[in-house]
Amino acid sequence: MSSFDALIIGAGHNGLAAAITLQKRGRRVLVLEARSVAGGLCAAREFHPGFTAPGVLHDTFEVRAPLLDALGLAQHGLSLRDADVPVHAPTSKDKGFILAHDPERSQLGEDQAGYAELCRVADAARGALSTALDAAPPPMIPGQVSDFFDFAKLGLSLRALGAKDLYGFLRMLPMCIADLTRDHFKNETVMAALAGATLLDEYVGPWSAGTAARWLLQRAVSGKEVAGGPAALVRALKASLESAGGSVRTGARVAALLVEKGQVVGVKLEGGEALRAGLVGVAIAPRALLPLLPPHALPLNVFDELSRVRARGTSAKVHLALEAPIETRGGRHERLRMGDSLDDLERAFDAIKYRQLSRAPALDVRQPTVADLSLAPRDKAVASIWVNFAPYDVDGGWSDDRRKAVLDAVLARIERYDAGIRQKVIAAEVLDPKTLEAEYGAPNGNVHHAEMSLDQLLFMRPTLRLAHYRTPVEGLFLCGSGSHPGGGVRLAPGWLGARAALEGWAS
Amino acid sequence: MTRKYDAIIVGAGHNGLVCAAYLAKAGKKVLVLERRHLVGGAAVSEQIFPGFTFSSCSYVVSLLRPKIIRDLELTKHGLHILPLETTFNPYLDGTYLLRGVDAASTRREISKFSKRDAEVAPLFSQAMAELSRLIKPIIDSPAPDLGSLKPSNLFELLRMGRILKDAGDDWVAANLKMMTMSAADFLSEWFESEKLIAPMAASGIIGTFLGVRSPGTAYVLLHHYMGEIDGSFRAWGLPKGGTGSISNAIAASARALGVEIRTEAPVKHVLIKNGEAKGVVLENGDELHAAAVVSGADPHRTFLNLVGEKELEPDFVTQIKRFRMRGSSGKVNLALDRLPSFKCLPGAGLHLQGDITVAPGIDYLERAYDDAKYGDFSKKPFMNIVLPSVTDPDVAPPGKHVMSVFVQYAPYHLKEGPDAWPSKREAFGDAVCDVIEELAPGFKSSILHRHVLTPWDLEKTYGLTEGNIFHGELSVEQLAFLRPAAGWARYRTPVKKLWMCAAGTHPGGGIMGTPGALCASMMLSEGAA
Repeated sequence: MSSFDALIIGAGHNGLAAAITLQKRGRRVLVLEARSVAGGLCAAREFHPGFTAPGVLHDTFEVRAPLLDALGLAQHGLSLRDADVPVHAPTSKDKGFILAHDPERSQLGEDQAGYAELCRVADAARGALSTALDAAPPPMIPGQVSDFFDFAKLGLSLRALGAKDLYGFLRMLPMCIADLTRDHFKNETVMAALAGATLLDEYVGPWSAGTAARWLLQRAVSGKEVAGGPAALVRALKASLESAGGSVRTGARVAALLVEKGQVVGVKLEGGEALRAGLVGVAIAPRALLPLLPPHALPLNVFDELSRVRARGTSAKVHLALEAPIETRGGRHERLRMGDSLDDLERAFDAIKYRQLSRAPALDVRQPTVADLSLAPRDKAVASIWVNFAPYDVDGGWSDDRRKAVLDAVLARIERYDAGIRQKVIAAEVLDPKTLEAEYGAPNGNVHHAEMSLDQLLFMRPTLRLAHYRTPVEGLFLCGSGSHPGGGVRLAPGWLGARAALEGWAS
Repeated sequence: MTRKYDAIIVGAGHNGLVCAAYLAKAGKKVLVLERRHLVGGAAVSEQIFPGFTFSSCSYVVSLLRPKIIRDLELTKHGLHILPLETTFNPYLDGTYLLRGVDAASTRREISKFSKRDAEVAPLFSQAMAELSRLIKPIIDSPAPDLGSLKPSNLFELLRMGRILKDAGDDWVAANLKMMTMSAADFLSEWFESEKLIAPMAASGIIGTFLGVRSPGTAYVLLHHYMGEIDGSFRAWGLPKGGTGSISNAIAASARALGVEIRTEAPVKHVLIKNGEAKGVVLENGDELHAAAVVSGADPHRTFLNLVGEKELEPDFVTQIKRFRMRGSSGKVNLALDRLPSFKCLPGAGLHLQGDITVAPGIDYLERAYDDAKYGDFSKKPFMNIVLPSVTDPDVAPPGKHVMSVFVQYAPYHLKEGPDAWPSKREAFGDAVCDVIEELAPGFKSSILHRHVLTPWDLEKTYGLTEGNIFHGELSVEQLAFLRPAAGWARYRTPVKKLWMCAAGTHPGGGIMGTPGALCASMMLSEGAA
């Protein structure tokens, strides 16, 4: 029987980050991956011969530079691009708009000043927010003197905003993005472009409370993207892990966790092989833990909380192999968000409440081939598209007809801005939420492993009792997107989970 | 002109009257000015049709604080609350749920749809009561200001921190969930039957521009659970003689304490000199002076009309303009020849004595909301119906009945604009009556008179901006220290000696009386009147 100090279940970006963190602290680590390749939702996907999408998740602006250093990724070929990639919001009439992180680089017409003011207030709190997102979640109620100290520090950093901005910021937190953007903007397309950032795999529309916080939190950690996208990130993670002495075993699906006297002692793989280790990190969805554990391993209240974690998949992914990139009246762009107005986005959301497909979905498009020509044959192009919305439990179930309906709706939307799109399509694939679940283990197709709603963030992610990564089973810890600071390509859940595990269970 | 009053209160709504009574109780000379011919604001009883008395707007009482009832001796001054014990939910498929007759029958009723839910229901009520107790001390005191470093304020924060700490993580987490989750999601954590979840979730949307699936509605649910009568939680009541009798009792108490109340005395604007309120100017040109002016009007009306933008900092004006007051509900008042007979439970009975909630499914409620989001009234609306004449026969001629139907959604901002309401009013009334007819065939033929109030009417007749019944939406960013504007949540305003005492301030709307009482206590503690 093989023996390791630590096993990590799931070789997605967070699992790999956790593994590196442990390996660098002298633990012998093996990462177990059910699929035939490492990388999870960040792995490259050749969806048509010669055409590759650099990850099902396609954005990397949420990875934090200090973490990349801590994980030693620069030494393994990772480089950051010079600046963020701005989002183009096309219209059917004119050149549309450019929404960049930096208001100065944005082109928003009459809403330029409004965006600058909105960003000013949001960024005033950036320090406090990014601190909260870079560290383990704060306790809900300060219990110890040191907690009070942390709270006071957070309080002081917020105080530094000045009373007016502090109020502005506190008011924003519980708002819906529709109200927030209407306070600041005049043009509906601009509002929709900003609001579009908050929709992926959430059960919310722009009129749902809490969406403003989603945007604020996203903005607080946004920065430069990884050259080569998510696929390049996981390649560097894997290389860093291996150079430190750890390894990844693919095609290894975990069938059960082995627990003795309240302590995890290893895992059993499908096929019966047992692997022993005193530490086991779970980078798969938190709820997927339940069927792996022996009965009664968790206290009832923890079990209860965990079984209530909400993870509804609401988005589908479409990959297009194209003769040429999507080109709007505003030209060729690497990132685009398509949705004409807040009502347009909201109507797209309305459909999923009744388990229907959005007739006119909102799209978050990336054209990786604009920056990286190696992903498609010469002069051809790839479009990677998140489609909002497409519910996991669609009425009548998922079928080829439904997937075709999604593709048609996507092309119809793009056609408004690029009339020639249908002639450009060489091949297409539709990953519906059921497929994302089957292929990637995303629960109900939710790529964040748990919805990022306000009640499932910070010290409530994934649940109150599991928010600090360590579970009541000694040696068993969480290190995936279901933990703080959550989903998207972030690495922090893996890194923080591993650090919590290293602190031990004694306290 | 010499100073005559210690305080002038603009608007004789229930909060204005409560504030006046408390000030007078402390020996202050107080004048209340009311635009209409009767006191009460949105808590009035009106004989809209001869012989039929309606609680035209607000129609049930649950949140009126027991301390106020005691302090102002409202029972002595005529307040008499008849219990409203049962909740009847008819469904379109011919089934029904009747809760509240007694514990055993409620259990039997819920078991019709889910045995498990019947077991869970009492636990749920207990948990809600516990949560309400956690919130109560926060509701009952002025909102602490997170942006202020004053020692008294830090002390307040510390006190609230201690309440939370003593409650423990579990309760605080449950509370945070309530603050952020949707009513439908929150209830689905407890219950499985939609027949139970839908009508319960509906109480989370009352008076809001949100749907049962919108995050934040679970909190409103709690707000409605906080109702108490004589200290008992979760008890709703009908004031005998209509909600106007609450206002009349408070007014009688106030008068007995020496308050002067003038009706048909509309205020044109607040008299301001050098940034300080000196009194008010009436529509007829009369000037009345006082040491302090208290506005019982909503924040928009107070600052944009009575004070005027030119007296205020532009930043503050922006904040007030951003304070959202989208009205979302309407009211249909009906005089009936006979009681309605529901298809699912024909004839008279206990089910007609309580409140009747038409919320037959989550999707039904959500579709009602969808209509409103895009600027139309709900074709199949959510309704809360009471028949006050069943328990209080004096409000209708012998054998006849009054029916009060609270309807949601009726958005103030129709896609054609709010002024399209008069031309849509009757179509809206028809939509309401059509749904009731479907549930209770023959109902339409029993209607003697119909009176439809749209948000536009609520604005024009009752002075509620955009028809918002809570003087501002009860969304989280408009509560506590942000109600109605950051830094101005403690009843003071940027205009010196001008105060606010109504539902647009902490802790918000409903016939609660707390804003009025807290405003008076803040004024007295600061020697303002």
